Amino acid sequence: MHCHVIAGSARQRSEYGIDELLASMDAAGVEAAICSVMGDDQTSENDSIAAASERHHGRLYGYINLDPRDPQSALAELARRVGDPRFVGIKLHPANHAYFPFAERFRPLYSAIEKTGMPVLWHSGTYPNSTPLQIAAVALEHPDMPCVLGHFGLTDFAAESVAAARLAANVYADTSIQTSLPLLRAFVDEVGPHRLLWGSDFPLYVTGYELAKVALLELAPADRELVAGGNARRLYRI
Amino acid sequence: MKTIDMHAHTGDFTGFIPGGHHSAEELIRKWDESGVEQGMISILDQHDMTAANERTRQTCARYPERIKGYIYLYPHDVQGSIAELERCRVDACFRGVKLHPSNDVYYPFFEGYYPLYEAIEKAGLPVLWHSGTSPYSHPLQIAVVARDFPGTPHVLAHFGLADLTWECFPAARIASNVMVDTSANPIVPVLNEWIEHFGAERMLWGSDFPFYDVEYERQKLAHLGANDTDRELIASTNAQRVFGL
Repeated sequence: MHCHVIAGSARQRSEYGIDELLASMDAAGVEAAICSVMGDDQTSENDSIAAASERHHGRLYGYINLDPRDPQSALAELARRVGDPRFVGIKLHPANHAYFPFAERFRPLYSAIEKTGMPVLWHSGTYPNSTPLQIAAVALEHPDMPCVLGHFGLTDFAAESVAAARLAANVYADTSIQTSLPLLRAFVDEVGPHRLLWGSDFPLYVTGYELAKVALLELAPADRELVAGGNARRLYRI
Repeated sequence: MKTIDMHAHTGDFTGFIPGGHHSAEELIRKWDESGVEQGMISILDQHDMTAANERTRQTCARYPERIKGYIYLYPHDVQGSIAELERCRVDACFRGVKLHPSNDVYYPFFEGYYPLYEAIEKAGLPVLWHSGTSPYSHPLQIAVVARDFPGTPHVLAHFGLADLTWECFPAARIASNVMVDTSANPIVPVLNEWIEHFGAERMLWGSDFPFYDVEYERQKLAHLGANDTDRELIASTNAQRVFGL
């Protein structure tokens, strides 16, 4: 189960569509995926995810992509999507949208997200405004909002993901494009296999290669099931 | 107004700043010109903690009324650092511990260092942390340690510098023993916002001599939107309380 892919336009490549995503999932044996489209128009992006999820019911789900720089319009966009079963989580990207997650002006938005029970997939690992501990500081103040650290803090902040999960019990992490298997293993050992989720970050990365990582983590079979999909099904309620 | 410079250094920093060796005499002269009565220095040397701390001790001994010191420690060597802490702390010239995760390349929150933090807490010494440099000296990385060692005051030097100034706010929210120093951080509006949020008790004035200019740093105090009581807390009273000066 993917928990992190990007459909639509990706910066480094031109246009990636749903067909390519489904083909990559078929090739790698991935059953279902949760997708987001990211850009500067949250409403049209979320519309396109809703349409794709409609066409591929049970196989594709959506993240509600929110741009909180205008907290009021983000709140309105959230309200528009809540209750739509095609959307199972929220996507926030403080690096692309250039904001510090912990700014107090976002508290009403986070409280509204917390009430929905949906997890937030955060981009993490980019300096200076998407570090795992910045996201954990938000998680600590919103304990009922599961916060997933996309990319496990990338290279410089992978170690910080472990500290972030120690700090707040509602911090989770995804494995996408994270190559430090020793730190992924340390995360599982320190905070538990129920808090790590597999994702590919398609189309920026290759689904099959991302999936190969799961076997190399040398987890107990039950834990491997959790990381590969069980945790995503539980957290995103699918 | 009594002014205490809780963040200064002596030594040769060729490659970072010009001027060759910056002596205690030069520091005292700068302090005299700016009306600074006393202060704290640290000398860092990751190759030899003991040599660095001995130089600090000798400098303090030359100016016992004016200069106190930090014990510099190097957590990659946890046992050596604990031994160095024990060796130094009996000398009353040492009033704090200096840690520089960025220079010395370590993540503050690594649990392998926790026996050292425990020893520091037991010794009753505050820690001055370099902060604001990525990826090893982020305010929240230090706040994780502060939260786990609530008995120690943890000072974020430079108020997180420019990129991570704002990160000092959640750091202070998650750990009430987090403080900041003003050295090298010119963002006066954010310093003022800190005072509004957390009061003046958690902010300390320092110059970071010789990297920064004592007089220019001192003039920052006049630009703060603080009342006289708060200004005095920042200039000296907080340092007296935290470092027992």
